[in-house]
Amino acid sequence: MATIEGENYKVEYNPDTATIAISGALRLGGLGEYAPIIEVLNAALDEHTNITLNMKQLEFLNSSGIAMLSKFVIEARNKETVDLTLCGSSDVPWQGKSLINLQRLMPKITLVVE
Amino acid sequence: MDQKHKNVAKTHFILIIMGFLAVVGVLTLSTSIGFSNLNQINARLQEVVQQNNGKSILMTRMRDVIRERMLIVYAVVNLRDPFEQDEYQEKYSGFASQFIDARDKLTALGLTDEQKQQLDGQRKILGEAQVILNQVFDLVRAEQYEEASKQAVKAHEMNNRVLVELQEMRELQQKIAESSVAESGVATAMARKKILSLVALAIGISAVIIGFVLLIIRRQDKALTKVMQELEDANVNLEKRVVERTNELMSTKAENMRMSAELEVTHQLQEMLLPRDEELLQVKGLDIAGFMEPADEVGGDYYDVLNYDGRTIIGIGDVTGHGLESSVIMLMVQMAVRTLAVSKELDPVRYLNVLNRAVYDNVQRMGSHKNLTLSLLEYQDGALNLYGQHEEMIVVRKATGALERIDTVDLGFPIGLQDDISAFVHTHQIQLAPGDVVVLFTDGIPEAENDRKEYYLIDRLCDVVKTNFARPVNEIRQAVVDDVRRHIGSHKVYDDITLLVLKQQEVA
Repeated sequence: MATIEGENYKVEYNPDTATIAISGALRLGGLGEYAPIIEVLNAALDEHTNITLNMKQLEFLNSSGIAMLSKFVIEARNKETVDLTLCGSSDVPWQGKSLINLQRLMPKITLVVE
Repeated sequence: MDQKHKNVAKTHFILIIMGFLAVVGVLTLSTSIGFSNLNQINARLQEVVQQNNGKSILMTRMRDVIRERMLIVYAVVNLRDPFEQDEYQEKYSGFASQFIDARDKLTALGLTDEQKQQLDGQRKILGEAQVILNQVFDLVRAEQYEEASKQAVKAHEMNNRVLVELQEMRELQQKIAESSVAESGVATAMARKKILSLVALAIGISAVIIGFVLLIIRRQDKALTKVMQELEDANVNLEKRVVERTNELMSTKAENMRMSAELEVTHQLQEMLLPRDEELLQVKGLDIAGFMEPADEVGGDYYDVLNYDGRTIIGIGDVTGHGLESSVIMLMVQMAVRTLAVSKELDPVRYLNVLNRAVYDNVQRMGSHKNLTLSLLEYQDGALNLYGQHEEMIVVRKATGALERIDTVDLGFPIGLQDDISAFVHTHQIQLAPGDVVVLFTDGIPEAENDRKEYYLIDRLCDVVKTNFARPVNEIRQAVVDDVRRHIGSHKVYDDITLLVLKQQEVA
């Protein structure tokens, strides 16, 4: 169980269930600051073929964070063997547009929006 | 600590002074003893020598006198002239008083008991000899020369005994003098011993003092060396820390300067390419008011109004992240949009796809992970064609006061994320009636946060626009800006705030 905790957010990676849960508000400044989270996401990609990204509790994600997710999805798409499930909430404003875009990046993605 | 050291130093000082005084005292004492002893000895020696000399001379005198008197008597025995005999007798008499004189002087010089006895003895003998000698003169007068000679000889023998004794006395005197000298020698030796021992004492005390002083000096030296070493170490440490801190500060300062320089450049870039008010006025049929306020750390919002051949291209967009890189990408996009406008590209799909490909290839070359949202509006004579993915577009109809929110999710895709987006580009057309208002914005407005962590949200923006849509565009703009600022209050502004208000002009 790898956990990254910041001032307003938490990233939890459960290798057993291949689930990454991100919660809180992520406002890091640029891909450099997102590096630790990128590492966790890439680790999941290396270790599993069926990954779930749970963002139901992720209230806010800035444009750099969304760019990070986009990169992650492109990586997963390029791995061809990976199946990706994205869980989101319709209550969270930024997720409406972004989840659609992420699925357009990788049509195989399963979207679970509550 | 200081006081303790002062006291110790004082004690040392006092001890050293006392020791020094002791040495000086001992030396003075030994010198004075030495001098006094030497003086004594000297005086005694002088006395002895004087006496000895005096006594010798007198004894010799006495002897000479006796001899000469004898000679006179022998001479007289051979004299036949009575006048000569008288002359010699006179001389003979003179000798007696000379002898007595010498003997008295000798006695006055001080004689031992033995010597006194001897002199007494001699006096007796001399007295007897004198009697005989007197008889000799009588016999000579009586012309009994042979008898006179015989008596003279007798007297001579008696005198000889005295002479011998006198000689012995003189030799004895010499011995006495010598023993006195010897005594003096002993006294001198003792004095010397005393002086030497006192000097030795003085040297001893001095040695102790010097040893003491050296000990103190060594101790202080050690302490001083230790302190100096500690000081040096502290100094070295301090220097190291100063260097570290200076480097820290320098790099922080450099970083700050770099950041502020970057900020300057970013803001300038943003400002540089915004459409001028005159350009906005040239758009036929449309009133346009624009607003852009960059946040502290962010740069990357874009809007533009381009006019070519009666066709107006309005763009609004937002590059991800912030900083110089975002500003540069924004520059590239502005240029690409204008280039395509100049080239009279009419097909929206091609427009956006070419633009996307160009941006994407450049972004790849830059090794950047950034992309941007971009909405483009084509306007001509009230007809508005919208394409590209960005925020919602707000439309308020004058006739009904109704507000529409037009979603752009399905009209495009983020620019620069992948090489081909043609599949995602779609257009949305609307026709504007006079007085209709269109508001375009970037996510800095809906995502503006207040101290209670509440977002501004598009709903609130819609409320403000709906309330103010009848007013001129710059007033609508002001109303929105004021309300957003009111919401944010003193909270930190995370993102650039960009706003475009369009209103279809009334027919003249």
